[in-house]
Amino acid sequence: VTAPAPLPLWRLVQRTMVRDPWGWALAPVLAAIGFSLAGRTAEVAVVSLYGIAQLLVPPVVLAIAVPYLASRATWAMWSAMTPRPGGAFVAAATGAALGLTWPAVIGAAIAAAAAGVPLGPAAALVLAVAATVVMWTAVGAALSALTLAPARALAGGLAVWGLLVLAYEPVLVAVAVAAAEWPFEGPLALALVLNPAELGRVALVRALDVPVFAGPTGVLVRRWLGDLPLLWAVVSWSVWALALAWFAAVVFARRER
Amino acid sequence: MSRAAGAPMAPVALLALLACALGQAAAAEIRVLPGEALPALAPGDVVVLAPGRHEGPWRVTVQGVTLRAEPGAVLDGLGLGSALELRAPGITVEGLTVTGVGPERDLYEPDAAAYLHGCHGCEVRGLRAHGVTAGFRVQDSDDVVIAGADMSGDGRGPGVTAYYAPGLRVEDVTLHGFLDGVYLERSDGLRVQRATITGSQRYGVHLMFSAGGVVEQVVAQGGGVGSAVMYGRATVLRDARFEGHGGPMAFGLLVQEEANVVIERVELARNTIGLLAIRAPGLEVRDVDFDANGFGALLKRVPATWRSSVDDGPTTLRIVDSRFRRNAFDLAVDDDEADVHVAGNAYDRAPPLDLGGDGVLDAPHVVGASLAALAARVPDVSLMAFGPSIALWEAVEARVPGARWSTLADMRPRAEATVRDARARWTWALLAPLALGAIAAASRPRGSGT
Repeated sequence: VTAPAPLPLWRLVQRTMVRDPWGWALAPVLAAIGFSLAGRTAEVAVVSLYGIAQLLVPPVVLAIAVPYLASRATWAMWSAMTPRPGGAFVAAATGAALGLTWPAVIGAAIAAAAAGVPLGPAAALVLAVAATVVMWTAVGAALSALTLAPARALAGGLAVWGLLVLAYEPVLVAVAVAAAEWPFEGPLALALVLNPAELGRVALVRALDVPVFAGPTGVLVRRWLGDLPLLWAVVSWSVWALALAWFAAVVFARRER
Repeated sequence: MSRAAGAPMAPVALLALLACALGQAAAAEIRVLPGEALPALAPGDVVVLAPGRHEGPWRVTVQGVTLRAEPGAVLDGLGLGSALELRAPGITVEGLTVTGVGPERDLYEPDAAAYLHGCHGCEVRGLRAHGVTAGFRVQDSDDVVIAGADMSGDGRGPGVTAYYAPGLRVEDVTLHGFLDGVYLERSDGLRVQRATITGSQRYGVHLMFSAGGVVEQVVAQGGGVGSAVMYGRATVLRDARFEGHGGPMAFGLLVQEEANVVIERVELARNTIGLLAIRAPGLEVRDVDFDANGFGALLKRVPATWRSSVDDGPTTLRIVDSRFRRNAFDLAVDDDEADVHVAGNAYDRAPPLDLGGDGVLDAPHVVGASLAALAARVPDVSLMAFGPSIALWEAVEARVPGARWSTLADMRPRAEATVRDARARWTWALLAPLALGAIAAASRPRGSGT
């Protein structure tokens, strides 16, 4: 009798994440929000769901993935399992992202269906929510590798979330109002597209033709994003996620564990 | 060419006598074949165009002439200015198709399929012209009727442009792809009715310096800017739809420096700004749907130096018995001098508290989110709409009306019942089984642990 081949690390971690009941809390919550948006237009429902997902998904992802990735017990085991610690860490982060993507994607899909969103925009929403999970898992992985202390990594992740999601827009609004007499369109548009979460929202608004952008900055963003705004969002999400994963791998590989 | 004298008839004898007394020839019906030139005409003549291509351009300078095109008759202007010029009163054109309009695209003096000048009481019915620079140019002509026209433009000139055309009626027309669908200036008492205007590069309906106009049963869709009534007074817009105008400052309808405009039973949908009002005193909005716009209604100020000589004062706006739903912002005011009154409107954002069951909600609804107020002042801020922290902010505002910067309130608001019902029904449909499941899980006995 031969023993079954061990699962690859990323699949092991994915299975662990999928079995975490707290991750699945995302699905009904997102779905319920979708139901509550049933009266909006499909496009507005998608953009609103994406915005609300930025509030819900990152803390849950960080709260589940970071303690696992930063735990001394788990990373010590991965280090022992493979000759390439950096690769093992990224594999684990990939598994975490994939595992946490399921509930978020299922919740987003139910939400889109509940809100009466057609298939195309619903697919865009699911993609954007999946990208959100991947992005914030990458953030958590980078901070975990940096600190190797769950509490510190989680606090750092939540701080980044607070900065990029909670504080970003009010700060931009304040700056835009304060600088209304100045030619601030370029910096404002740049600030929007540099933050992947904001770029995702703006790209969805553009792609779905939600008629809300007024003013010259809207023209600038429209010009920059061209006819394929979602493509730019995907590029941005990918670049940020890969950069963070690479950073995590390098830091983890060089650390004294 | 065949010419048949009009048959003498007793009832018209007196008129014929009068005509002869005036030195006019008896009216005749003249059939013109393709390749023939427009014949010399006498007042009251009827010219019938046989099917085929007729080379123009033609100019009619005799009053009371009727130009009737048989099916398949086409007038080709050969690109030499306007294809058909009508320069006498009482001319009627029926069923003509026009091609070969010249390239001049001046908004006031374009080359048009038909150019009417001094053409009082003229009627042009059923004109078809596609891919032309401009459809109609009307100037110094009273009581003109343009009916049943089906035209498309090359985006450089207007569909119908009129200057000093009081009493003009534009009805049952379809206009696509012109610079402005309808541009009418200094034409009091005009009527635009039953018109479908799509894909205008600039404005769908554009009225300037005109009083007492009526725009009804008009659909203006997908234009580059929107539709506008400006610098006149007492225009009525009713039973119309202005939709699908997206852009940095695109609107469904702009009312600028025009007094006493009435908008009723109009749908303003999927525009960046549904209704934009600038210095519009006496603006009355009744029974209007503001649906799925960026801003439902936006009141803007302009610097004193930008105001025209016909400025009648700041905006006074009354919105009653209307419906706001699915807008990013329902109402935003960036005009300190404006006097805005909202009453009896339905809002999909209003908390549906109606204990009395009379359809009127029990608490006033504060209209306009704080971000809307900021976006009214700095439009670029609208880019933050639907953002996560903005969603949080608006959720707080919805529950704590005092948190809003705007104090403009509808004292007897109504809820959008269908939307609210759907939300409640679906939310509870999901939450109820979840709650039951949670209760069941919590009440399940734990493991024995022996």
